[in-house]
Parts: sequence; structure tokens; C-alpha cells
Amino acid sequence: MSSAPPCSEYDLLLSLHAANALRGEERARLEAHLASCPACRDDVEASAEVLRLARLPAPTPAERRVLADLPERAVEAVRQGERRRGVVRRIALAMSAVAALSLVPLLPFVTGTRRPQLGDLPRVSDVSGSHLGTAVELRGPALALDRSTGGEHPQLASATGSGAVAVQAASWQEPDPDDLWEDSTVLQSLGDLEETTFAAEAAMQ
Amino acid sequence: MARTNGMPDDGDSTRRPAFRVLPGGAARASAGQGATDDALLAAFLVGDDDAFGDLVRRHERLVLSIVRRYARTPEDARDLAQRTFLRALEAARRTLRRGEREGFAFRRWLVRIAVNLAKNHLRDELRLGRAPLEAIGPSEAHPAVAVEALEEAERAAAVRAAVVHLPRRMREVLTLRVDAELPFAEIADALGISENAARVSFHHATRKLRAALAPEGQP
Repeated sequence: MSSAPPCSEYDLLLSLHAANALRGEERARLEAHLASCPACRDDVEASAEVLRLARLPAPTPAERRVLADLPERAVEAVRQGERRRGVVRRIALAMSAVAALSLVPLLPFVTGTRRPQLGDLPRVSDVSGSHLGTAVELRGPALALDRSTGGEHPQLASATGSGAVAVQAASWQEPDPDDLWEDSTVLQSLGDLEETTFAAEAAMQ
Repeated sequence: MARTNGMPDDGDSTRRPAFRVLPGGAARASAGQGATDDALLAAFLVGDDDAFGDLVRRHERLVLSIVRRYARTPEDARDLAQRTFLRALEAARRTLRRGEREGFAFRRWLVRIAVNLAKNHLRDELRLGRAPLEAIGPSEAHPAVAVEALEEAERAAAVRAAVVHLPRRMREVLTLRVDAELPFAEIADALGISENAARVSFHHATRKLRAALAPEGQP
């Protein structure tokens, strides 16, 4: 009576050996068994045969011709992808800029910062002394520009509470351009107001 | 001792599929040369497109050996391989961007992605009632072989058709072994299973193929 393990214990190893996947102790143990077991040798042969049939044949010449330019095609596909990605990125950036610009007029409401009005600014409303070179005292209501009429020459109107307004105007901080995505709208509108004010003052003289 | 012809030995650590598609299977591919995969990826990510070409050349045989079986035409195989490389590249780009270099292995990702793409491709082809290249009869796929040894070619076609219809895990393990010639440790790593599970799946796959090849009435 042999104490050797039964053949069923080698089932897994037989398949692996057929695929040449055994090494070391496992391989030595199986080969020792195969040396004395023709049935298991046949089993390995049968598995090796079916694995040989299952294996893909080498590519035909026609197939190799088709596959030959894989690296070049892959690189070109990557380049195309990069170009597409660049276009999408530029479009997204442009859309973000447009969206930011459209929000600029809303900034004072969002930040709570009030844009100074023309009427807030102290103007020469009362000049003490009629001679040139005399001291000028600023007091009384400031001039306000009413553009609602849309006329060629804006009307001048007086505003009340110019003292508080003057303090507010003095303490008003121009928005930091860095806080704005695009500051040109704010600066341009302020510039327009200054020009209009200058024109109004000139008209008064 | 009986062994499959050309099958690699798992103890051979120098074997690495590489470079151009040549007859004879992946086992004869030479070892990787020059820069590492990581270095080529890094070069590509800073603008060297040719580095990606080198990476493709290095691994194209491996990827093609995995996807070829499921492709209906050589063009299909090429497209599947290309998609594999692009997806692996995208995954690598995302990973490296996050600064996760630990555990990153481009080759492992290639295998995993190629297996998944092949699986999806096979599913779509079978749903459309189309057969992959290797499930087609030998007279269509390899006319020269059919003329020389019709019976042998018919048996091979029967086995390959049976491979396509194996349960997914068995099919993946079997093809990664017989086509890509990967060691079981690498197969297990790519499929996210234990090495022992991979070996057992391979054993069952082999038994099923033998049953498919056996004449009617035989076990």
C-alpha cells in the first residue's frame, strides 16, 4: 500500500504545469509524482494540447501591417485630445470672463459699497470774495448733476446734507482692482462722471 | 515532461513583452530598454509627445495580445489598443496630478484597462451577433492554416470559440496567461484577486476547454 497522495490532489498542479507555471517545491513535487503516474502525465499532455490550441496564432502579415502604426496613431490621438482640451479651456475662460463682467455692476450691492454720486462730491457753491486770489471757503450745498433729462446740457441741482456726504465721499475707498475681475467698467464710469462734472462747471462760468 | 510550447516560465523575471508586433508571442519580447515608464510619463506630461510614443512601443505587444482575441478585425484590435493607451495615460495624468506616485504602475493599469475594454467589446459584439476574430472559422481568419491542416485548425477554432464563452473571470485569467503570458502573480494583481484564486480559475478554465474539445459523449 503506497502512502503517496492520490492523483486528485494534483489536479490544480497538473493544469498549472501544463501552462509551465510551476516552480520550486511545487514543481519538484509534481514531477516526482508524474515520474510514477502515467495517467497524470496523460492529463498534463491533454491540458497542454488544449492550451496550445487556445493560444492565439501569430498575427498574419496583413494584420501586422494594420497594427504597425499603432504608436503613431496613439500619439496623434493624444495631440488631438490636447488641442481639443485647449479649445475647451479657452472657451471656458472666455465664458468666465464674460460672466464676471456682467456681475461687475452688481458689486456695490453685493459688497455693500456705495458708488459715490456726483452730488456727494463737494463743489464750489459759495465763493467768499469776488477777487481772484482770495481764499475760497467751501460751504453750502454741493452741486448735483441730474442727468435724467437726457438733455445736451445737464442741469445742476443742489443737494442737502453735503457735510455728511462729504465725509462719506472722503472716506469712500475706490475698489481694489485686484478684487475685480475686470475693473475697466467701474473706472470708465467714474471717468465719465468726472468729465461730465467738468463740463457742467465750465458751463456755469 | 509535457508542457505547452513557448509557454514562459513564471520564474523568468527578465521576460517582458515589448516593442513591435512580431510573430512568436510576447514571450520573445526583449526586456524594457532605456527610461522607465515613470520617466517617459513624466517627460510626456511636460510636453514631450514622443515619450508617449516610446511608451506605446514598449507595451504595444502586451496590450495587443490581450485585445486581439476579442477584435473582429485588425482595425478593431488597433482601435482597442489605442483606447487602452489613451485611457491609461489619462488615469496616469490624474494620478500624478494628485501627487500619488506610490503604487502607481503604468503596466498594471494597461492590463486592467485592456481587459475591461476587451470585455465590453466582446459583450457589444455578441449582442450585435458578430463574432470576434478568433471565434470565426479558420478558413476566414487564417486561410493558409486551413489549407495545410484543416482538422487542426477546426479544433483550434472550436477551442477559441469556447474561450470566448468561458465565464468572465476564467476567460480573463486564461487569456492573460496564454496570450499575454503573464505570471500568475501579475494576473492576480491586474485583476484584483489573489494569486491562488487566479490559479484555480485557470485550472477550471482549462478543464472546461478540454470538455469543449472532447468528442460528444466523453467527459
